[in-house]
Amino acid sequence: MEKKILELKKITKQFGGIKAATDVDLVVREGEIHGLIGPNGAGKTTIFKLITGLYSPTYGRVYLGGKDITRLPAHKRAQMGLSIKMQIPGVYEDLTLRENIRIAAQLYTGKKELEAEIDRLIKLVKIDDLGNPKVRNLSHGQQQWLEIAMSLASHPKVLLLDEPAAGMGPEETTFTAELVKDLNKQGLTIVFIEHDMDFVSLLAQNVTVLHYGKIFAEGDMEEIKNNKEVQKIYLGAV
Amino acid sequence: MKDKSKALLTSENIIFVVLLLLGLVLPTFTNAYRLSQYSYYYSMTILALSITLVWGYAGIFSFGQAAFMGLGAYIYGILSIAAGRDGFNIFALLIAVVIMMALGAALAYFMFYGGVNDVFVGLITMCFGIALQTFMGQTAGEEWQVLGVRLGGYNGLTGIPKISLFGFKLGDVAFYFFTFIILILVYAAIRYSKITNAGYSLTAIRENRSRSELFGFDVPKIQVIVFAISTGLAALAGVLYSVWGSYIAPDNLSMTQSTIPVVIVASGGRKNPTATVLFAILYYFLSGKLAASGSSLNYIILGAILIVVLLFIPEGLFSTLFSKMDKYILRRA
Repeated sequence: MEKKILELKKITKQFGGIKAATDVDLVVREGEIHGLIGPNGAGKTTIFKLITGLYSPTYGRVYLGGKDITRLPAHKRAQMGLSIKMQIPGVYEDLTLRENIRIAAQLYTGKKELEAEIDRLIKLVKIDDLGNPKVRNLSHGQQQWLEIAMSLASHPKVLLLDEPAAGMGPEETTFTAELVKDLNKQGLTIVFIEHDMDFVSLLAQNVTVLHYGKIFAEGDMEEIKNNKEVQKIYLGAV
Repeated sequence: MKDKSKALLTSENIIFVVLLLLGLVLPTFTNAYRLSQYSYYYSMTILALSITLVWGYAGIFSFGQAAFMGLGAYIYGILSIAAGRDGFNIFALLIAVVIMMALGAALAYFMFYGGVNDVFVGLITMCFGIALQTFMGQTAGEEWQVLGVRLGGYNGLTGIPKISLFGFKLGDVAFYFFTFIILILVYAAIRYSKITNAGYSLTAIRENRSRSELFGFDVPKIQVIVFAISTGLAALAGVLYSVWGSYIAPDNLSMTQSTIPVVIVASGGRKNPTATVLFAILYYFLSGKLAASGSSLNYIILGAILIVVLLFIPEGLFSTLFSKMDKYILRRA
């Protein structure tokens, strides 16, 4: 077994009377691609916000590489190697492609190496044919890939992807899946949220199913696929 | 090499060089009184630049710049009058700026670490200005003295002394160059900072705060720093203003005084220091002409320009003009 890189222990988040996450335990191991799935409103994005520090938990703890990061602000967690691509592209629309990557990279790369680093990241996500347009003029898919490039700028230990293929056509989805696999092959641990089960089965080695803010099932892809209860909640029977 | 020289040929640079040359030769064809008016325009332009930095660059909408400016002027006035030695006044200027930066940092700390942002920053800074103006207005009594200097209520501080450098008191011409050089330095620093890491940090937090945090930016810290610098610049403008007019009064801290530079920056182009400088100098030049005829027409004209700009060219009059001119230059080159 590889060592734990990201771990949630009994994480609970309460908004007034509503529990968005209840006693969630999650273990992500170094080098894996971990899928976080569940129907709408299952609490997936809440979990991501708890991991990145945009929310602080009502109780429970978050560990990154064995370190307790529960009380650390979001920017410290980012500097420690936790990176995220948000669901709605979190790019700076009024700036150019290269400026976007520059902003994401400047905290992690010396001034002299910045241009080379921007080139490296653009090549890494294979958008080097786009030139340097204003990001507003890029397609939805291109913005998503750009954001992945930006989230790689911090040389993260763990990359969180919130619906990386949302709003993409079949070709773009395949491209994205290949990209994620490539990054994983280079050693990056990836956790992603996805609705589309086909996309999940393309990628995930291990899967955690959330339902009403609780862990519903866990296991490798095959187990989850054949789990009758999981099939039921996806068809709305439970 | 050719590419580099081409890149320098932008409308902003051309405007800057033209303004620089005009500023340098101005003393040769105007009288001392007119010249000293320009010292006033330049001081107010520095105030406008403090808003370009905090609002245009960092997206923090401060409505309290005139209050910071006024308070800086009060501090300079008190210190320089109390000291009574010309040689000390340049230090009084520096002390006023430093104190105001500390005050700005303290105010910003409570706002930004408390999670206050956007329109609420505007409200808090506005209330700060109104409270300060009201407070200074009631300081007419004998008991309101700082370092033996009476604050003077609505009459304000009068007889604020000139600045001396190397044993020479700065007269009209020397003071003109003093404000001119400070304006150029402030402008150059703000303009250059845009392409540095610091400048990009400001752009990042202006465009999307929570996203920038997830890229590792310490957003509240950056906000406190830029707010403090902007407060210091406003105080610097205030000191120069009070030296120019040799007085400062609560009227200078009013809402109107805080609004005008905001409108100037919004109309010229809030993300562009060159646009701010050009618009500010033109505005103060024209309003000086209009005020001489005893009307408040300048406010009406400024208001009308703002409405037109916000409706049709939201990026600002001059910054839009600059980018259009640049496209034209590029096509010709």
